[in-house]
Amino acid sequence: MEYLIFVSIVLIVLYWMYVRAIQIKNRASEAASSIEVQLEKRRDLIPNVLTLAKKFMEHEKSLLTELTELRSRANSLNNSREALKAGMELDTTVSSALGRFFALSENYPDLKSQATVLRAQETYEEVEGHIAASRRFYNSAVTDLNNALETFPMSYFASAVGAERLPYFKGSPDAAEPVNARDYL
Amino acid sequence: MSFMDIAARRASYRERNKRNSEDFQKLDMLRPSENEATLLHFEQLFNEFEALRERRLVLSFLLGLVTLGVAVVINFNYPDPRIAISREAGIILILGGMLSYLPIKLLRMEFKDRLVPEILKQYGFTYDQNAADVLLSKYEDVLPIHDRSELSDHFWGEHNGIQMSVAEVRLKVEVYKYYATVFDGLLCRFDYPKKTSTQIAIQSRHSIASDVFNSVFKSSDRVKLEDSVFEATFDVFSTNQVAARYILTPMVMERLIALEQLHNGLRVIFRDSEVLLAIPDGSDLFNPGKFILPLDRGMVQQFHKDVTIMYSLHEALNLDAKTKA
Repeated sequence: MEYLIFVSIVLIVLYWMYVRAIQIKNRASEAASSIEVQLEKRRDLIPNVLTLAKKFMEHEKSLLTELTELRSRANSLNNSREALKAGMELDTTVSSALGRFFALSENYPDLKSQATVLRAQETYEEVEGHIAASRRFYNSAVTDLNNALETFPMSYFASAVGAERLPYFKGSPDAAEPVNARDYL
Repeated sequence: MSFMDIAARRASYRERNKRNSEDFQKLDMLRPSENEATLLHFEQLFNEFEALRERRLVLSFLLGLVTLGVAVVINFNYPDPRIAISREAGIILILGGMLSYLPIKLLRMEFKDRLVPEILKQYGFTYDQNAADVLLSKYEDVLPIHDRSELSDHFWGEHNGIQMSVAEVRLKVEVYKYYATVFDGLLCRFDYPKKTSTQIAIQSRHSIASDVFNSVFKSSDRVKLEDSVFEATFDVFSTNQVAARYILTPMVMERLIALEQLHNGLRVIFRDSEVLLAIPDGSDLFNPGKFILPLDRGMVQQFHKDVTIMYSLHEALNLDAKTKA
């Protein structure tokens, strides 16, 4: 009888660990896809603003071309693990290019006053907030996943359900640079 | 009230004022000029009221003395010496006692009608002693389960564009024909600028009532945040992990920790672009006491601290929207 109880307890614990490993893996996938959803929202903004910007920002053709190319590259990425890493790197570039676009649009009052651009800018700010939140969610899920993969006996179950280490979402290197107040005065 | 009680109460006031003053030094970093000007104005108000209280106490004492004197004279002149207190003297004592208490009773009304609204006016609030049931009815499902609710001291208004509504609430549950208090404190509601339809519930780990969010958040997941102090202080539940982090930025978390340090057992709900703070204060916000002792000035300092943190919390929510726009 004692033997049966012991075996039952062990089986329950093993099953719990198996379920937990699946949960951790799925949570990381959910977090990765939440980033993708937000990045897509941001990419969808690009055509709206570019259509208008082309009329007003003739001197910024290189930036507009860069934005178009970045959007095409981002859209071509598939859902693989490598694509996720590439997407993260690309995201920094898209973010920086869009930031530059909105900063430069200040020099074009006609463009700036367009309702579409104003709406796009508002949406951009909101999406940026959601992207930052998604990154935090993703990094939290990745920490749990990587911990599970590196800690015995969860590592065994995590490997058994096909979980793999995922990269952390890191901020752009520019953000780590000290801010020079004179640039803004 | 014995002299020992009075001494103990005075010591407790001193301790509370000292603690408040220490906490203020931290808050001064947030709004130095406003703190100084507002508190100076309160000091003047209290001094005026204190002078009025002393005059009323003297008046009450004199009226009581006259009543006693008249009753004694009537009693001495009573023809039957076997009766200790005559009927006439008794009636005089009762009526005189009521008359003597009248100046103090009026003082209590003046405190609520004049001093409290004046204090609240400094923050842009309108005061109403009789609270409306709006706050409770909207958030009934996320407050502790209760059979009876008592609301008082409702005030609302706008400060720096913030619409805020605060009420003192006491929630009670019936236990064997008696009522036990399950929540006693403030309910504070204000708008926040971020657009999200997700509900987020934050419950302090010091909170006694663990059933608070059961009805609404059974299907919610726990949100694990990266701030270890916040994690140790609060449990966060939401149906959307990303939206929860969108609202709970590091700055907002910092403000909530500051508020929790003032009042253990905080609960916060984000819903429909509104924030509801349930602050278990446990004492009346503006309770003048018995008027035998000097007024407790600590209550205003406490209130000032609460409002300052509520504003700073809103500013933290607002700041994310403003700086990026």
